[in-house]
Formats: sequence, C-alpha cells, structure tokens
Amino acid sequence: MLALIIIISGIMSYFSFRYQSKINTFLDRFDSTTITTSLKSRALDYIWSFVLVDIPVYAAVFFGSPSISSEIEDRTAFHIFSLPVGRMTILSAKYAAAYAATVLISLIYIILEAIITIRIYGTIDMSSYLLSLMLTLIFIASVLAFTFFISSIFNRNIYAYITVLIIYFLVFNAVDVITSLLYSTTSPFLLNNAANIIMEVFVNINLFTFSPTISLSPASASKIFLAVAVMIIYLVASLAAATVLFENKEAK
Amino acid sequence: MNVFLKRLLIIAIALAVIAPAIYYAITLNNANQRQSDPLYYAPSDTNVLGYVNYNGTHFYVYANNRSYGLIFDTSSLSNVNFSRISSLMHGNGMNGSTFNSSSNFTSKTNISLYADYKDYNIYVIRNLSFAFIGLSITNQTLYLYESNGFIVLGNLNGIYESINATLSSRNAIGYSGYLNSSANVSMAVFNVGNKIVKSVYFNLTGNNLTGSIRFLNYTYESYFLSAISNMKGATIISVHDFNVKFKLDIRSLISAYDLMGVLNAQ
Repeated sequence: MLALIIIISGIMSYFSFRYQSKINTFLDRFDSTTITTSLKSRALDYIWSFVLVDIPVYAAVFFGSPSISSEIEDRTAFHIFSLPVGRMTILSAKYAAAYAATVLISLIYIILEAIITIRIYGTIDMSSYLLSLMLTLIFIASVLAFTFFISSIFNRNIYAYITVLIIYFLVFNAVDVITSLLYSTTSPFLLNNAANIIMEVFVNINLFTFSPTISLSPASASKIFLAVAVMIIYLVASLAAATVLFENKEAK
Repeated sequence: MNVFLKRLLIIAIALAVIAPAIYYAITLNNANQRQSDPLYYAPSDTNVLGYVNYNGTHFYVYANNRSYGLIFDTSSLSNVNFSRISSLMHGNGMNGSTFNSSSNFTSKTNISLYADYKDYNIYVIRNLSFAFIGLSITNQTLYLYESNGFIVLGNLNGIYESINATLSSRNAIGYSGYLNSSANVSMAVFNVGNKIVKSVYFNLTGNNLTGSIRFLNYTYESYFLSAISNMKGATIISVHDFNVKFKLDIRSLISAYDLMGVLNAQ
C-alpha cells in the first residue's frame, strides 16, 4: 500500500509540474479579475483531491477488510477470543490500528499535495486545505467502519475484500446512475457522493452526474454539513453493526 | 454484562446518534434542494414569471415594474461543456458560434467585476447585443451573478432583488405551480394592478397555446370572448365568472398578423 501511494503521489507530482500551465490556460478564459493565484492553487488541489477520494477506500479495504474475517479464516480467533479481554476492546484496538495506518498512508499524499501546490503557485488556500484534510479524516473513519461491518459478516477475507469494493464502486455507482437518470441529481446519502465534498471544498464542480454543476466558488456550508452528517451516519451505523456481529462471532 | 443488554445498549446508543443525524441530513438536503430550484433566485414580489425552453436551452424569467432577470441553470444548458460556460464568463468576449444559431452574441461584449453585494460577486456586461426568439437587444448593459450553479442575468435592481430573495427566503418557489416546464413557453402574469385583467397564464407547446385569463369586470371579458370566438383556430374551453380558459393555434395569430400587415401596407 505504501509503495502504491508513493507511485500515485509521484505520478500526480509529475503531472502537476508537466501540465500546470493547462490550469492557467483554462482559468485565463474566465474573467481576469476573479482569477487569483489562490483560485489557481485551489484548482490544482481539486485535481489532487479527485484522486484522494479513492485512496482511503483502497487503504480501508487493505487494512480493514481482513481485520475480523482473517481471524476466523487463519484460525487465530481461537487464541484471541480466549483472552480475558472484551470483544469490544479487541474491536476498538483493531479499528484504531487500521485507522492510524489508513490516515498515515493518506497523509503522505495530502502532505505532498500541499508541498507541490506551494512549490508551483507559492501559496496554498490554507482554510480550504485544512477543511479538506478534516473531511478526509472523517471520511476515513466512516469508510473504515463500513469495511469492519462487512468484515464482521464474512469468515473469509476474499469475500470481505470483494464485497466492500463491489458495494462501494458498483452498487453505489449504480444507484447514483439511476437517481441521476430519474431525478437529474446525485443522491447525497451515498457515501461515495458524500466523499466528493473533499474536493468540492476547493472548487464546487460536480462532474459525477448527467447534468454537471459548475461553480468556481467552494462548496457551501450546508453542503459540507450534509456530507459530514452522511459520513457520521455510516460511521455510527457500521460500527454498531460490526460490534453486535463481532460479539456473536464464534471461532471455527 | 448480559449479552442481550449489551447489544441493546449498543443499538440504543447508535440510534441516539443516527436518528438526529438523519433528521439533520434530510433537513439540510431539503434546503439544498430548494436552492436547486431556479425559482429560488426569483423574488416573491414578481409580477411576471416565465419559463422558456427553446432549442434545448431553457431558462426562467422574472420581472416587476422596476426589475427583471433571467435565471440560467448551468446544469440544464443544452450540451453543457466547459467551452460554453467559459464563453459566457469570457474576459475578452463571447463567441456566437459557441451558442446555438438562434442567439447571436456580439464579439465586443465584455464582462468585468462590478461589485461585491452581500458576499456575492456581481459582474457587469457592457455593450451586450443579442437576438433570441426574434427579440433583438443591442448595446445593453446587464448584470449577472452566479450562485450554486445558477447564473442570474438582469438589470441591477433585478440582481439585487434576486440576491435579497435568496437571503431572506422571500423567493418565487411558491409560484412554481403556475408554470409548466414541459411546455416550450410558460408564462404567468399576476398582480399587475391594471383595470382590465387580474392574472394571465399561458403555456405554448409547439403551435398550441392554452391560456387562462382572469378579468376584473364583465365588459372586458365580453370584448375578449367576442374577439376570440371569431378568431380562426381558437377555442374557448370554459368561462367561469371572470375567468376564461381558451386554446389557440398560434399559426392563426401569425396569419392574422400577416393579414393586418397587408391591410396596413394597402
């Protein structure tokens, strides 16, 4: 995972230096009085965040999916479940460890994003950057809780891996396509759409719909609060379900 | 602790957090949905409200005796792409070829920042000349601002009133029932304050115009009934008190207009 994130960060850094003039060319077509260096740096951060929204998902699947199911599959549950430690303590420790690892992996990318932006434009919109970072941390917590919930259902790792990826990238997107077709809007209650707020705090462009909305202003406060509320719902519901299922888990 | 009680406690705590979060999320989503309604950007004290869908480009119109505006939804502009949007916001000029052939923008149009009003950037467009649906406007100065993917274009009062409407929630969403967005043109005129009509609503789809006029007295109602009953292609649907509903083939209006032109020429 570390190697993967270094490769992705390297590619993004190369593209940022190689094609940063394209951002200037695109923005120069707008009214010159509104095109500030801050806006250009936000546009670059938007592109970096475009990739960032998927990094916690892969990291969470990598660190979170095997957390419970592997104990059954590898038969290590016989040792762990017999310890005089509550199941909830085990689950919280596993969750904290997976969260720390996912945050660490994501931070490598996020810090490099700031370094590259400052290197190119000499400035960074710190308030938007910190807001995006905070939202990323909340998103990591919710997507990781979701992988823990799926992991607590299965006794085999591979099922947990595949199910999380299918639900996140296939089911959620299928629901999204249907709602976009029927109602010309993306459903804000899907976790993948809530995650888009990580990039929309820089520039409010939603391209994941059949009728894209375009605004060079950052997303409104109500949109941010809505995304956070959705992430918290996934976080709490998934953690509660994972805890109940883990309490009943038997070593086989 | 009893396993059952433990489970119950976990579920209770989860529900205590999830229930208010869901309520809060739904409330916020409803508020965002309202902001996604084009009429959210039209003031409530408007006298004319309209919807135009012409060659795939659709927008809303609002007007009263001191202000007017057009509301464009960037997500509903036909074949939306960056070049179309950027051409609208272009610093050096608009290019007619980026819009459809029915709307010709001059190349000398330029947009610049005019003012910052209640945290909204208002832009001014000087020397705007364009033709749309036979309506020709030349060398006009118009103002615009953008909010939540919507662009409101109008006179300065119209822009101020639109911004105030969004901030005070005194918007025209309540009038959405008067407009039919499946028609090509849908128009509602109400509270006009003259002595003839109280309100006029009409929808135009293709060549078929269906309308409803509420008169203020029987005299003007009878004049109208007399005129429309003698008009070719027009049908009176119903008459209730001062309210007249009718149907009209607008080709007959065009032929009547041509006839008047010929008579006038002679």
